[in-house]
Amino acid sequence: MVDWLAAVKVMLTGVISVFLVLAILSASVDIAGRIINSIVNKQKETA
Amino acid sequence: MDIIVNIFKDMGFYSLTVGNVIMMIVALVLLYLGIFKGVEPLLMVPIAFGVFATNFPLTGLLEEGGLFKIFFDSGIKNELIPPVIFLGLGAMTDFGPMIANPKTLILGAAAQLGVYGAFACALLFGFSIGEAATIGIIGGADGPTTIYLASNLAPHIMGSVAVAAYSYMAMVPIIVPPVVKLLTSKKERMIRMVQLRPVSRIERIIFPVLASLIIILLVPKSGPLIAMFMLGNLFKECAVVERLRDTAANSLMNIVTIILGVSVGSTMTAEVFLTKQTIFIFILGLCAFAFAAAGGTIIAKIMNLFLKVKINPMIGAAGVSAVPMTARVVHNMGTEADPQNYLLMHAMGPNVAGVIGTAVAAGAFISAIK
Repeated sequence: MVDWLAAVKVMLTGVISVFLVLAILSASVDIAGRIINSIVNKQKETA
Repeated sequence: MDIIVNIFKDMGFYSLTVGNVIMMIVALVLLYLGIFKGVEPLLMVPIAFGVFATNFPLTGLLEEGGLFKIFFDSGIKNELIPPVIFLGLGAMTDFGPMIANPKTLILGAAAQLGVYGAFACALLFGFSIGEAATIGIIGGADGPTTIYLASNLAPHIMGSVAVAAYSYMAMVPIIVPPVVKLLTSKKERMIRMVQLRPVSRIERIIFPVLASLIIILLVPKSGPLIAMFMLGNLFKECAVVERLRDTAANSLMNIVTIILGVSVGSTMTAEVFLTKQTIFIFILGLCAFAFAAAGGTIIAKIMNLFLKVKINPMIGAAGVSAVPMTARVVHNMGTEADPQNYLLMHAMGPNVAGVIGTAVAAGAFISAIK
């Protein structure tokens, strides 16, 4: 007999974890990219 | 006379069962698919031969100290091989398209909805939570992750889920297009995407470190897969350890693939495989793939409601992480709708994001269930 409460918990935990992790990673990659590119551009301007 | 009887009894023929014969036929079918139909041959051939050899009676291959038992215990039961394969995959993966368009990470997450859809369906079919999670992860279209999760939660169905996962991965060009076409209009399929910006070397080097930091801190149980995946990628991108990258991507990858295939095949004995459960696993695996493609496409359409520059919703389906096959399928569908619509690099973003998403989903399952 399936424990549906436990199953729903597993499902919700999983969906939230996956979206949360990849959303944070997405934002972090975006921000890191902007920072790196602005530094590179500044270095180019200075040079 | 006794001697002759004993010689006869020691022969495999004497102990051969109908189940053994059926499994040998299954093995030959799998060999045929791998060799003549190109169904993931690198995995299918060793798996099939593993099935074939395991089902000979009296070999002792699966007994304590037997060769396949040693392979299984040291390679899969102790969770060694899937992370090592991830090391090789990382060394071959180009995260550039995903770094250039980080929104595609959300599409990699969206495709995991298929995993949870199939998980729910498997529960309805009467599978336990651990078995349902293992079946659901087939939708991630990632063989090593499927095997890794099976070894953690449901080792007894590992053979069936692995064969289902690898078979359906080869069938992506058949499974994905109808789902995507059902969910998108021709106008949507014709959406052209702006060219991706170039990604600098420093961004590529920082990515594996940043990704490890975020993912492993948030879902620690995904650590073994993610850490090795990102280490392999760092080997590739830092460009100062070419020998290590080459070993991870080629020799090591090939060695562990052989042991992985044979070990998975060795789990497919008649008493385990010839059950009603196996049929359900194959049906649910197919559903998992279809749900995953649908999940990615639907979320891409929802994202378009909020984005100024629209994305082609078909790239959401590329979150089904059979790399690079799903991306190629999406690209072909794009050029079918509009011959000048080149989506390959855009689809590679969700495609590699899907690998990360599946590893995270597996980690989440392990921490919630084990």
